[in-house]
Amino acid sequence: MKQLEVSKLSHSFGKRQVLNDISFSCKTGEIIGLFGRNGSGKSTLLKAVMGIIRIDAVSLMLDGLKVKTSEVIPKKMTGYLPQDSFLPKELKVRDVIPLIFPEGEGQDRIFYSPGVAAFENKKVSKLSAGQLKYLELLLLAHMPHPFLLLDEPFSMVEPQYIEKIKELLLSLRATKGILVTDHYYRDVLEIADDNFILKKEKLHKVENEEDLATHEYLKVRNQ
Amino acid sequence: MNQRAFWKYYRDFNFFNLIFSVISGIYFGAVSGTLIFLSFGMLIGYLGYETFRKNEYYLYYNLGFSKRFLLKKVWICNLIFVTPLLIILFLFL
Repeated sequence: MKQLEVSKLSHSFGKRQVLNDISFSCKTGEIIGLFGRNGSGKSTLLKAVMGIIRIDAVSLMLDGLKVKTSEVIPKKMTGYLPQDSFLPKELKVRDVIPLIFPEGEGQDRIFYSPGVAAFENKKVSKLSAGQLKYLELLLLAHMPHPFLLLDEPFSMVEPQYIEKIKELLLSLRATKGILVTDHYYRDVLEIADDNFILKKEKLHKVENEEDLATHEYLKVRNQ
Repeated sequence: MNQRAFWKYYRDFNFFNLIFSVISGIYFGAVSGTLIFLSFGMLIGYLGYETFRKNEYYLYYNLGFSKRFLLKKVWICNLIFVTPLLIILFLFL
């Protein structure tokens, strides 16, 4: 089991502080849900952990050992699913897979994954939102990162693929730690072991829709 | 290191650089065009990639390439490939 600990994470855009002394940890075998209104700093938090933006302060520990943010990418500590597709749009799916997995064994694992045969001859630009997210998650799933940071894996995805993605994430829990943020809160609550909400620069633990309403992420329902 | 992925980045990055450098070469001469390919053309390549393919950087991050590493390696490869051409141009033009 591996453990990623994030602490003292602070960041501001100009005079506006978005993250203030945030701390959390993620172990392989667990899925953490992260909620927050638009602009609350969810994507910034994920990018900070990935080490792809300069941040005011952050401390990362992997299995108790301090890690520099500049080491996260070269050491393949975390995989990242951005909101928009990261795959070259002009390529066909069958050409993308060998680009990422040069060895035959890795390619076979993707080509023979459920559902891939249906779109392997399509160009990336021609895939539906659900097919694209599912493919990207499959690719990430078979990469060696022990942790995955997923920025809106369910957004704009058709229900059939949302179910596939949830199944995939639950199966990945056996080997990876996953931090997922999405406004499709019901889907996140369904698969996550722990949930947090980012509000006024701070991270608060939440457990259900009522807690999300208490933190003004959801509208409070009248009795 | 995933060489296939790196060369994909190399081609996509230099696509913008090459167009600019070839046009510059036609206008200012072959030596200038080649030198531009190694210098200002790199900036054009960077800006072109940032404008049209920015999100693909996440693919390379997931494969273990940082942006700094990619840029450094592209420049070194360009230097290795273009230096013999520059020497030939200096000798025969």
